[in-house]
Amino acid sequence: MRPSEERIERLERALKRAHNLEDPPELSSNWVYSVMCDVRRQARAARVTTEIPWLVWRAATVVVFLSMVVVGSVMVWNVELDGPFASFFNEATVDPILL
Amino acid sequence: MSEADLRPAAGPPDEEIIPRILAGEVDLFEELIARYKQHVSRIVAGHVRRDMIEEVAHDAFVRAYISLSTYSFRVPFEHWLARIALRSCYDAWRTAASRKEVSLGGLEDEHQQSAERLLAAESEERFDQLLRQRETAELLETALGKLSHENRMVVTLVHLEGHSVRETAERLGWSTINVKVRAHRARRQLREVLEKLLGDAV
Repeated sequence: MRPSEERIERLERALKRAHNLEDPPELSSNWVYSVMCDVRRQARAARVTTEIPWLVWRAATVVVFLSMVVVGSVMVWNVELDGPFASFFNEATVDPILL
Repeated sequence: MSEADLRPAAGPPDEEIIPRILAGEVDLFEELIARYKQHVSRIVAGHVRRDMIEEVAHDAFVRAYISLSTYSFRVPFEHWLARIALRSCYDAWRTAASRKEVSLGGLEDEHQQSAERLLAAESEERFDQLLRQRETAELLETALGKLSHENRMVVTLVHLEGHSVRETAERLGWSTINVKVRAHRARRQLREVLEKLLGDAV
C-alpha cells in the first residue's frame, strides 16, 4: 500500500531535525598531532622537490667555475714554465701567420 | 555557527598567519587547525558516517595545507576550507563505495520500525527523544546511503541544512542551475526511498 504524502512529509521533516540535532564529535589533541605530522611530512617533501633543482644549478655553477680556474691555471703554467702546450701558446701569440 | 564565532578571539588574523606558513613556518598551521577544527568537523559530520569523521577531517586539513598557496584571500578562509572539506567528504564516499563499504542492501525491518515509531510519537517530548536515538541517525544514514554521492551532498546541504542554492553552488564549485536540478532530483530520490520504507512497513 502506498503511504500518504503526509506521512512521507513528516518522516522527511523528522530526519531533517535529527540531522541538525547531531553534535559533531570533539577532535582530540591526538588528532591534531596526527594531522600536524602529516602536514610536516608534506612540507618536507615539498622542500625536497624545490631544493633539488636549486642544488643541481648551484653544483653546476661551481663545476663550471672550477673548470675555468683549472683551464686558466694550466694555460698560465704552460706559458710560464715552457710546459707541453707552451709551444702552441707561444706560436699562437707570436707567429705572424697564425695572427 | 556564525562567521563571527569562527573569528580568532586572540592571536594574529588568518591573513597574517597564512603567508608566514607559506614562507616556511609550518608549525603555525596548528593555529589554523585549532581555529577551524570544529567548523570542519561540523561540515564533515553532516556528510559522512560518524566513524569516518576524524579521517575525513584529517584529510581535509592536509589538503588545505597542500593547496594553501592557491588561497587568494578573496573569500573568508572558512568558506575556502568548507569547500575542501566537502571535496574530502565526496572523495571519502567514492572510496567507500569502491571498497563496497556502503550498504547497498534493502531497508531493514529495524529502520522501518524506527520510522514508524517516529511517526507515531504521541508527544513532542517523545518525538525529540526519538530523534536523538542512535536508530534515527542510522535510519537517516541508510536513507542517504541510497543516494548517489552527488545527490547526497546536495540533499544534505540544501534540504537538511537549509543552505541556499547559491551558497551550495559556491561550496561545491558547481553552477547554480546544476545545483537546482540536482537538488530537485535528489529530493525526489530521497522521498522515493522514504516512501518505499513506509510502504514496506505497512
